[in-house]
This record gives sequence, structure tokens and C-alpha cells, in this order.
Amino acid sequence: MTEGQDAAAAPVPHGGAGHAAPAAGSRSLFAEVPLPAPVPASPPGTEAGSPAAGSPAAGGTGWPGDAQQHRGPLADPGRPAWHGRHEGGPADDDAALADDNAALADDDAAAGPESAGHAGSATPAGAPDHQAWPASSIWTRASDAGRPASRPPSAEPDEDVPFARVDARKLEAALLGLRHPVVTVPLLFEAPGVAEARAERVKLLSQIDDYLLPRLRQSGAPILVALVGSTGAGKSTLMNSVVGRQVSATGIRRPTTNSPVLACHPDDMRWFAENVFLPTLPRVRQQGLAMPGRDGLLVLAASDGMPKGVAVLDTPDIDSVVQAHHDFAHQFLDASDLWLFVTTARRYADAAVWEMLKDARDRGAALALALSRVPPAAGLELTEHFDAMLEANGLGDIRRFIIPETVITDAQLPAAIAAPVRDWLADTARRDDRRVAVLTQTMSGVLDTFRSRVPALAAQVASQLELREQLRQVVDSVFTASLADFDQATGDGSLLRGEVLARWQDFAGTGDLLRTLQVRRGRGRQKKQRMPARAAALKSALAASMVSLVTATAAHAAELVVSDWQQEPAGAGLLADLGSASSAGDRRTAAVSEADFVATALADLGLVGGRDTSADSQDPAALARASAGLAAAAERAVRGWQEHVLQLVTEEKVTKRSIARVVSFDEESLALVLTMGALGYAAPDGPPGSDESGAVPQRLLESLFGAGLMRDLGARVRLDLRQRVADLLGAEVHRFLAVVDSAGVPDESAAAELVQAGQALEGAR
Amino acid sequence: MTATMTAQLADGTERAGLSARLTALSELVQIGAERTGPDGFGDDLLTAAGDLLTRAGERLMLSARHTVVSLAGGTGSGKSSLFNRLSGADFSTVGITRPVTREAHACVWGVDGSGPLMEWLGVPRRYRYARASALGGGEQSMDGLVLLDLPDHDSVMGHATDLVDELVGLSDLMVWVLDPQKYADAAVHRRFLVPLAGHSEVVAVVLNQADLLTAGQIEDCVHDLRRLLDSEDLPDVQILVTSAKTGAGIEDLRRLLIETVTARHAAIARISADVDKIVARFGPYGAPAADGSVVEGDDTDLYQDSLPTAVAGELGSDFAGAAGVSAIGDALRSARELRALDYVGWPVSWVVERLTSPDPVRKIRLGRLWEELRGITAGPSGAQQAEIDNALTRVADERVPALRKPWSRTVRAAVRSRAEEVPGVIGDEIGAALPAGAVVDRWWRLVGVVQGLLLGCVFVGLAWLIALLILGAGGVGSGMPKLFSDVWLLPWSAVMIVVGLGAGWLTARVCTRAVSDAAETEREQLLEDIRQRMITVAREMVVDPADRELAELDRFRAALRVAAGDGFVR
Repeated sequence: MTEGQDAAAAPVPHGGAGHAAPAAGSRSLFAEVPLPAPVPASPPGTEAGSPAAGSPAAGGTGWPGDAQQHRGPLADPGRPAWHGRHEGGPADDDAALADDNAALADDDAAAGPESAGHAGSATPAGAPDHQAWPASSIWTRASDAGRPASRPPSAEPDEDVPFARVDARKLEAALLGLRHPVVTVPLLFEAPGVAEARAERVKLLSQIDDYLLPRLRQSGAPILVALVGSTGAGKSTLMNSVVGRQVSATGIRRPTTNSPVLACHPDDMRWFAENVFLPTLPRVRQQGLAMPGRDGLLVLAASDGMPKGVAVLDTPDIDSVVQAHHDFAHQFLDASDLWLFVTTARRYADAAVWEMLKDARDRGAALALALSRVPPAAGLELTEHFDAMLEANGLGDIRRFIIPETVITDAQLPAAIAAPVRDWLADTARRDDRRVAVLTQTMSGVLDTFRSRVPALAAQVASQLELREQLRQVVDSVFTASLADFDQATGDGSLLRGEVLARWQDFAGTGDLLRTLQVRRGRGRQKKQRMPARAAALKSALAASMVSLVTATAAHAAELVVSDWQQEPAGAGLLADLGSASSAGDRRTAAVSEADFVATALADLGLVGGRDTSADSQDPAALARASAGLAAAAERAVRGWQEHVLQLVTEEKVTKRSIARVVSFDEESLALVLTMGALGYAAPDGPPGSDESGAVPQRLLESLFGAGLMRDLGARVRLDLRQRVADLLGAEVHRFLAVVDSAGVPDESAAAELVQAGQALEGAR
Repeated sequence: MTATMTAQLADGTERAGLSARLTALSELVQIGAERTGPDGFGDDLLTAAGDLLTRAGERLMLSARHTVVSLAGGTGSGKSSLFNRLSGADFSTVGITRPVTREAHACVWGVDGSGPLMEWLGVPRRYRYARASALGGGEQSMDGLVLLDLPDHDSVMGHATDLVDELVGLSDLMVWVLDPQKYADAAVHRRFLVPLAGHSEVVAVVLNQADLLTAGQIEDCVHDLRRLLDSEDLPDVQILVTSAKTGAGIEDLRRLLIETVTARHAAIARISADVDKIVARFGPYGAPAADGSVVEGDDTDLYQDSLPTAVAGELGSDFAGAAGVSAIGDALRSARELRALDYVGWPVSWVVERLTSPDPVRKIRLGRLWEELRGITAGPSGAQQAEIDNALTRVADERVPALRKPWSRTVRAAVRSRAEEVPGVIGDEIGAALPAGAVVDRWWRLVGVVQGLLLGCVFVGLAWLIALLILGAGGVGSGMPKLFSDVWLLPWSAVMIVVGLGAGWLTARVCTRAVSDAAETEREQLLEDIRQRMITVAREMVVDPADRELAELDRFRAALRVAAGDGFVR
């Protein structure tokens, strides 16, 4: 049984939150303090490995239980920055360049007594002194977890532990709890900042998946040190020198390293198997000497030369022309515990370098620096300048190595030059205090950024909902306005132009209208008469122009909505999606749509998230017109309306009694007259020619029906028409709303869920 | 000497050609500026083109005798050392810590006339240095060189980047100084070299600090650099290997500069390359196909410079339909017939009709309404806006040729540009086409008189009949003329009545028929007249604006060809 299996198999016991008061615990997440158990009242800030003496201001003042003196100046601006160069060891703070590297060896020696004691005991041989740490750190080295693998987790009941600790399981659960809302947070609509939010989400997920969760689950895994830096800075050379043989290709071509190389002790290799570390990344195991993998392949190189408990990753550059390298490098950075940033005497003022460094600083990652290729003659001047720049950027306390320009043999630096780096790495691996400090800093750093990033992501939800509402609002207001326009057109007589008017003139002017009125001759004997041809022509002209009006109204509204949408990024994105979806077989290559992303991400989670993406596809050009079936539907509706008017006339028995006794009328024709009147024949700005002829239909109708009934009838006729047209336009509106919905329906509670999960995570720390 | 003269001559024609291209480019910009928007000409393209025009105009006005060569590169690549080497004096500070050079330095060989050029470049006075051509010898041939030492473009001192951008834009020849460590940096390639794609002629790359590498490494490095440059569409760029420290390769660089200065070609070549690049970006906007793809060969079939001629006819019919022209015709005919009936009708039939069927209108006291209804006559009835909109939409959707983005939109917009005015104009046109007022034909009156006479005849016959009956049959009328008392004349009177009635009725029938026919002819004439007018309206208000827009596209394509310089059509 190997120790690693132990640590991996047992649900990771506990990350101690030091002796932090719960309120302050968040800053000392994993600072398992290797103090003897019976000293629970150890004053804050005296953690081993970062002697309180090294940071006088922080000790006991800052945050109680602040286990992060390593970040001294960052956490405590009161302390002179120069004093934090190394990990808090006061002895060599002022080390000049000349003895800078040499001083490294003293670094640990100068550490506090507890630290020294533990450093001494925590040898790779695995002295069984874990007994002395009942609050067994989740960060204990693998070799240190020498207790029997069979020991169940319950063998370490929580009560035994005198500290308030972080429960790794709880934290893991909280992270998983956060992961789901992060995946489902709706980022459906384009807007300024949404692309960034999507990238941010992917980043959050990759940090959770590639770093946080693996770190929590495999606490015993070696510390992963990523060599980051500019192309040509000598990362691979440094790596080879640390390993002691050539594992990574070096050369004159830029960029040299195309596939990352990970070197570690053979015993540690299992930690980097496919199912554990960066599961999505294909990898090869290196056989024999330097064998560059294919581009994009992670090369695993096992070497006895590597100290146990630490792995070094040679990453591709951050600033060469090959964009894929940058993305790659960032993925590794997210997965690493410690960054060793390498830059050169020629490059240290490059903007790209400082961008990266500021990023590292902001995320609070554990960081060290190497300035390589320093011309020996100008060493002091350069170093001073570089230090001043670091200082100015708030990085004055970072561990910094100087590597002079020298002769490279066998793709390695001379042993003496590489020794400080190598020793420092070995030391980091060996000393638990350092190990814990590094892991704590990086993980806290990441989790700290969640504090603002998660709410920022949640804030997107509100704006997404608003965007969706806006899109729908546009549709709604445009069509409402269209209906109002339609109302006006049917009310003010503007419909009574062209053919309708001409037909009316033909019908009324020739006396056909009057001929439809018949004097009753005797009771019950009514001459059944056919509808005059002119009336029929008027009727169909009315229907045709009404259909035209409806179609034009809908077409205009559709065009307006599309052009309105086009103005806003959200709408334009929607239309673009629609366009690409409708061109069959033409897969979107540039950006996977939001829906697809969520679907696959949910599938990753093992949730059934398969959204039915087969939304009825239309292309934007078709969307901008009225729907194809509208004309037919409008025709049906208008016919129905005319039927309704006829029915009204028939059923109402509407004639004034006095007249009804003497006159009968043709109902069809009367329905037409009623229609003409209702459509505003005699309106003030009615059709030309209607003025001099007066309000003929009105007058006729009033004579027949009486004024009150006439008004009532007119209102009912128009109301019915409006209702039918509103239904037609409603169908058009649905077409647009379906397009909005086809992007996906955002979950309104997503923001709350996200914030809640973020808070739960904070609580679990 | 002849070589110089030839060069000058070539220079002259080249300048003329370039200025024609620039004029064409400004035309492109002008056409493009009217067609911006989400799917229109990009603002950045128009701005870039405008900037180029300004810059080119200014540069061509300034000293043609001088050639501006800039040394650009990343921090620490040794620009300043090279600058000092070339100028032969320590003008620019060389340092260890980075970045060193924060302002541009300039060194001029042959100061005469360089003043305005230097002002234009904006190099501070204190950083200007002059090499008098008095140095003689080799220096003489560098006469006319303005060498710029640019600040780093990639250091943390961000402001320098803008300065580099600006000066790189103004240079005639750009010498990029790279070094083995940084030659593949994204900062130089992405930001500067990629945008210079196609500028091979006016770009040179210097791999400095060659002293750090072995000969084999240099070869490897140059090979890799060449591969990179090829991938960035800078295929024939000169790559020089130098070492400012040891002086190796400096002579090669100097020779390159001398060649460039003597040829006096760099300024024009630079602007030409810029124009090429901008014009290539304009190219897709002139593409005939909707997807902007390039079609080889004769594209006249693919490209229409006007709407199909049938469109005006179709639209004319649509407009006529929207105005209800056929209904107007019908109404007009009805009105005409009705009116004619007043003259040519047979009053007796009318009286008979009134007597047999009682008038409901009078019955329900709507007498005035009757008058009003009689007053309704056919007149201009305007047109349905909705139907016109639909017709225009149909034309825009189906008849506008498939064009690339901004044009398909602008032509559609042109089609509909005057949609609001159309109904009014149609109404006016129809009004003008309709006969003014109620026209009464002369023969109607004549027939009316005849009908009156016939009616009179009937009355006379009737009176005669009555007289005959009373006087003749009653025997009262003795002494009366025989004409009124002779009973045997009774049949004649009856015949007179019948003939009068019959003739009147017949006349009415025949004349009504004739009126009907005439009205029908009139209607057809009217419809034809209106149709022609509608076609004119359609042409003026729809087709012409669209054709004008298509002509603009034509102009754009012509300008594109000129601006491209070599008959390049894309």
C-alpha cells in the first residue's frame, strides 16, 4: 500500500483552518498548523515556517489567525516591502545580489524553532512523527502519511482535534455546489461584457475542475511548480538543470517548447495519470532521453533526479506568436500550486511580462521569480532596477533568483548556478510548513478571487433577464403600436381609398344601394332578391383591402422588430444564431452557442441537460417579413368578420319599427353600409369626395336604425375586427417570442443560487 | 546620371498613377461613408482609409528627396546601437536596464528641405541630428536619408507604443530589428508585422545580436524567421543578419539603405502598398455575388446595373390595383350611363317604373338622401398605402438583384424611399386622368330633343285621339275641322301614339346602348391612360431611385478598379 492511496482513498480528513476564529478563517483555509496538538491557544500568527518574528506587524495584529505571512507585504502594508523578499526569513532580507542565491540555504535555518524542528523531522525518509500532529494536515506529504492505509477516516474523530478546521469534504461539496449554478448561469444574450463573462465562467470551471477539486481530493499530491515565462527565457534549460538531465528540448528557435513537459520523481508519477490531473489533456510518458511530444501533448518525464513531493512543469511561452501556447500556458497556470516565473535581462521590462505578473499577484498565487541571462558585468545594475520595478508593482516580497548568462552544456546550466533553484524546490517539497504555506496561499488566493468573481457572474444574470425582457419588450411594443395603427386606419376612413371607395361610389351612386330597399307589400311576403353585382364587388374590395392592410401591418412590424433587434448586440446575436442555424449543415464553428455549452457542461455533470435545440429554424430574412400563411389567415379572418357583420344585421332586427313596417332591406347590402359607416366613411379626414356627399351611410343607417343603436353597432363591428386582427398579430408575435426562447429560457433563480453557492463556499472555508 | 533621370521619370509616372489611385480611393471612401451601419461599410475601414488619404497626401507634398527609414523593434533588440553604428556617432543612448529609448531620435543625411518633413514626423528638435553630406565618400550616397530610432513598442511604458504606431505609419521603409531571443514575440508580430502583410517591398528585418549565436544557429534562426514571415504574408522581405556589437553585417544594412535612398522609390512604394491593402479591404463590398465571393471571368451577367425593365410595368399594375383603377373605370362608366339616361332615356318608361314600384326612399322620407346619393360621382379615390407597401416589399424581395451586404440593403431602401408619397401622387395622377366634371355629349342633347319631340308627338297623338273621340264619336264637334271630328282618323291617331311611344322607347334603347359602348371605350382609354401614368409614377418613384443606387455601385466598382491600380477586380 502506498501512502498516496491512503490519502486518496480515505475521504480526505481535514484541512485545518489553523486556530482561526471562524470569522477570520477564510484567510487561513488550509493552513494546517503543524503545532503540537496540545497547544491550541497558540497565539495567532506564530505558525511554523513563517516565523512571526519575520513579520512583526502581522504577528498578532492583522487578521487573527492569519497564516499567510508569506504574503507579508501584501497582507500587511505596514511592513517594509524589502523585507519580504523571501518567505519571511528575516536573516537574509538584505541579501545583496552576490550572496542572494547562497543565502537561500540559510533561509530555512533562520526560520522559527517549531519550523526548524519539523523541517528536521519531516525528512523524505518519512519519520513517523505524524503522531505529533493529531490535526493531520491534508497537505502532509505523501511520505508522511505513513499510517496504515486501512485506518478508516473515523479513526480520527473530529473531537480529537482542538482546532476549528476546514472540512475538506464540506469544501468539496461546496465547490460542487457552486459548479452547477456556474454551469447553468444563463449567458444567452449578447451584450457588452457577456463574452468576457463566458470566458470567466470557463475559467472558473477550469479552476474548480483542474485545480481546486483535484487538490482537495488528492491532498497528498506533489506540489506542482509551473515554469512560466517568455519565450527564450530559458525555462527548459532551467528545468533540465533542476532535473539533472535533459527532459525538455532547448534550442535557438522561438518558441522552443511546443508541448509541456512535466518532470517528477518516479514515485510521484501516478498523481499525474489521466484520470487525476487535467483529465482532458492527452499525455505521453517519456521514454529515455528528451523526446518532444506532439504539439499539445503533455509529456510526463519521470526522473530520479527530482525530489519527491514536487513536480516541475515546463510550460509553453506566454508571449510568442503561437496563440495556442498562451492558452495552454494559462490552463497550466490554473492547475499549478506554485509559479516560477522566468524572465530575462532583456525582457524584464516587456509589457507581457508585467501583465502576467500582475495577474499572478491579483489572484494571490504563490509565486517565485527568476531573472535569467543576466550579463555578469551588469548584474548589480540590472538586479537593482528589476527589484525596483517589482517593488513598484507590489511584488517586492517575492522570492527571486538571479541566473547569470553562462555557458550551457548539455542543455543544462552549470550545477552551481542551478543549485539555489533546485534546493529551494527540494526544500519546498520537504518542509511541511513551506508546503502548507504554498498550497494555502494558492488555494486561498483562488478562493479569494471567487468572492468577487462569483457575485460578478451572478450580476450577469440580472442583466441577462433584463436583456431578454428588452427583446420581448421590443416585439411587444412594436406589435402593440402596429395594432394601434391598424385601429386608426380602420377608424379614420383611411382604408376607404382606392378600390373600396371607387366600388362604393359605383354602388351608391348608381342607385343600386337604394334599390336594395324594398317597400313591403303585404305581410310576410318578401321578395327574395339577389345581391347586386356592385355590392358583391364592394364586398370583395373591402375584404381585399383589409387583408392588404393586415399583411402590410404585420410585415412592417416584423421588419421593425428585426431592425430594432439588429441595433442591440443581444438581438443581433440572436439573429446571427438564427441565420447560422437555418443554413443547414453549416455548423457554427466560431463560437459554440450558449445552449450547446450548457448542454454539454450539464452532461459532464451527469445531469440530464439535453435541451431540445430543434427550435423551428427560420432565417432572419424570413423573420423580417410577415409569416407565409398570414395572408390566407387574414383572408379567413376578414371573411369571418364580414359574416359576423351580416349576422349582426340579421339578428338584431335592427330597423326602427316605424320603418320596418314599410320597408324591407337586403341584409347583405345593409351589412356593407354598416361596414362603410363603421370604417369611418364620413370621418373628418375621410376619403376625398365624401365631404360633399355627406355622411351618406351614417345618415342612411341612422334613418334605419336610429342614432344610438347605430353607434353601438359601429363600435361592435370594429371591436370584432380588432379582436380578429389582434389574434392574427398575436401569432406573429409568437414567432418572435419563439426566437427569443430558442436561445434558452434563463432561470431567474440562477443568480440567487449562484450567490448562495458562493456564500456556502465561503462558509465552508 | 541617366540612371537618375530614368529614375526620376519613372518616379513621375508612378506619382501620377498613385495620385489617380488615391483619388479613386477617396471616391470609395465618399461612397462608403454614405452607407455605414451594422451591415454597411465598417467605420474602422473608412477611418483607416481616410487616415491613409491624409497621410499620403501630406507625405507626397513633403520632400520627395528624403526617404524616411525607421528602426523599430522590441526593448533590448539593439535599435539604438544600430542607429549609432549607422550614423557613426553616439546619438542615441544605449543602456543595460530596460527600456532605454523612450523618445524617437532622428538622423538626417542632407538637411536641405528636411525641415517640414521632420515637423511632420514630430521628432522633438533636441533629438534631431544631422549628418552633413560633406563627409564625402560613401556618406554622399546616403544623402536624403532620414533615419529614425524608435522607442520600444513592447515595454511597460505604454505610451511609447502609440508613438511607434504613428511613426511606423509615417515611415517609407521600415526596418524591424529583432534579436535571437525575441524574434518570435507576439508583441512585434501580431501588432506590427501582420498588419504590414503585403508590404514586403518596404519592410526589412534585421536579426541583430548575431554575435550571440554560432553560424549554424544563425542559419537555423533565419530559416525559422523566414518561415514565420512567409506565414504572415511577408514573403520577400529582406532578412539581414547584423551585430551592432561586432559590426558584422552593418555594411549590408548600410547598402540597403543607400539603395533605398537612391531609388527614391520607397515613399511611393509604401503608400502604394498601403493603398493595396485598404483597397483589398474595400474589394468585397464591390463583389457581384451576395456572399462576397469572387467570381472569375465575365461577371456582367451576374451583375445588373438596373432593375429588370419589367419591374416598372409590374409596379404600374400593382399601383393601379392599389388605387382601384378598374373600380374607378366601372364607376365612371356607371355614372356616365346614368347621366346619359337623363338625356337619352325614355321618360315614359321612367314614369311607368315609378308608378309600378313605390319608392321606399320617399316612403321613409329620405328624399334628401336620394339627392345626395345621386351626387356621388366617381372621382379620384387615392390609393391604399398598405397595398403599395406590399407591392414595394415584393419588388424589394424578389426583383432586387442579390448583392453584397450594404448594397442589398441600400437598394431595398432606395426602392422604398418614397413609399409614403406614392399614394398621394397616384391620387393626383388619377385625378388628372379623369374627365373633368360631368361631360354631356352634344348628341345626347340632340337625342333629348328628339325624345322630346317624340314625347310631344305622343301627346299630340293622344290629344288628337281624345279630340276625335269627343268630337267625332260624341258627335259634338260638328263644325269642327274634319281633322278633329272624322272618326275614321282614329286609327291614325292611335298609330301616331304607338309609333311615338315605340320610337321613343327604341331610341332610348339604341342610344343607351350606344352610350354604353361609348362609355366602355372611354373606360378602356381611361384605364390605359392611368396605367401609363402609373408606370411613369413607378419609374420615377421606385425604379429610378433604385437604379441610381445601382449606378452608385457601378461607380464604386469602377473606382475600385482604378484604386486597385492593376485592373484588379474583386
